[in-house]
Amino acid sequence: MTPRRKRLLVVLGILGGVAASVALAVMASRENIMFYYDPSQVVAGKAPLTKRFRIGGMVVKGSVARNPGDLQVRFVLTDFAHQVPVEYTGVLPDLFREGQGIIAHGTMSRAGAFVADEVLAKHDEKYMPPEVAASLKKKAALSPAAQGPTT
Amino acid sequence: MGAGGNQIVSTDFWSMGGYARFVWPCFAFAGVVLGWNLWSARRYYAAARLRAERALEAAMAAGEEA
Amino acid sequence: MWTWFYKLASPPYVYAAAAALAPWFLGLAAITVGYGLVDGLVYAPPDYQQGDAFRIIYVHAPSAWLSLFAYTSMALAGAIALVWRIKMGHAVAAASAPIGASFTVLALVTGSLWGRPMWGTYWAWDPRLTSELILLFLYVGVMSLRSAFEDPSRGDRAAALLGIVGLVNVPIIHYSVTWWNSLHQGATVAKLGKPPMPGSMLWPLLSMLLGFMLFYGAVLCMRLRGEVLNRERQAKWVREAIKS
Repeated sequence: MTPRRKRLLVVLGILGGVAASVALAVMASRENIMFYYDPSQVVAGKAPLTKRFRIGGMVVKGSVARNPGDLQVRFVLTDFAHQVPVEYTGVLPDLFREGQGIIAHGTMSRAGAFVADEVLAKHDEKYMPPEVAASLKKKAALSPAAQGPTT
Repeated sequence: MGAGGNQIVSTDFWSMGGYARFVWPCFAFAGVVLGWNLWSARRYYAAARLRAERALEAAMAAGEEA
Repeated sequence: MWTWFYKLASPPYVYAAAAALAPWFLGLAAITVGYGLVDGLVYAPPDYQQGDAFRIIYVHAPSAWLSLFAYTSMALAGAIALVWRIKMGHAVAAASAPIGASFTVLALVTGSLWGRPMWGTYWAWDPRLTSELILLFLYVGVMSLRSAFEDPSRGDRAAALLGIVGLVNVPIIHYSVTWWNSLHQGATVAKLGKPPMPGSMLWPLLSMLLGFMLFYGAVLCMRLRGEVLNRERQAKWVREAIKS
């Protein structure tokens, strides 16, 4: 093999490597985007019944019920139009709380609940000290509609 | 101002409110990256300068012979 | 009219200017990063939801921002070099790539360490995370392409081309959080309007952003000097510069 041809192969190898890794990464994230549904779509029966998918929404306030003794948690997800009950066993992320946006990964059960094997919490781009949040909350308590969704 | 609030939530600065094992590695790795950049830039320049000096010496030696 | 431009881009001028600028950039970077670290780690209040883990923003956001800035500078320098045949453009691009790549790694690592406690995972094939990973692949591709050719000028041109093509990834990274349903939150300091953060948290962040930019400037100047020497080894002005 001439050095020239060898160089050409090296260059093609680099370009091919970059293209392949980009393609693989894009495919992996495409799958994530494609199999994403919100509670309304799930209620309308648009989500796959047998395949794993992701569901995103807000944890309904007051819906989180923990099993004393083990790590099982039940809560209700909402997109402010429809609601889907979710079951999960495991450690929840620190940001998981009522009123928080989350994304769960799992399948639908026959009973119509979403059985999650992974729960990820989303957060918004707002940051503030606890004192400010507390005083905002006080104001929000006077007008319940003020704390809207943040997704 | 902020310092007061800080002390209420995290009594110990180094514990970072329980997130020490995430916060400190981030800042440590940032130090590594900043340090690596300075080190490698200096090394790159030193190597380039050495090569240029060698080229100059070689050219001068050739010039003297001629 | 363009003569001043070409003079500005002449190797001896670039070599001298880089030497003069580097210590200024580095000194100012030390001040701004030093202030940002102390104010961000000690004085800024913890976040109401994330507690002290939010302080990771002070290295994560500046490094992520710099990874995009360095890539854009690299691609633009390469484009200028291709269009106007200014050799120093390739030198700037070559000096920029390893810096940008290192800060891309820093952004990915700190993001991962932030994601674990907050989102609940070190990594997700999320649009923002994936496109930032692709940025790292592009940096690696550009750097290896440059060194893959026997003839350095062909390597320069190939690297510049890949850099320009890869530029499409930059807006994708930036807008990934608005275009797709991303785990990653939107930008904190993007619009000129009111940032969603009080001053006590914002000032150290802005200082770190500026500090990382200045640091990039300093390291770029230092690398650029080596790059110019490598490229101009045979030139008369280099011999005179080195003799002294």
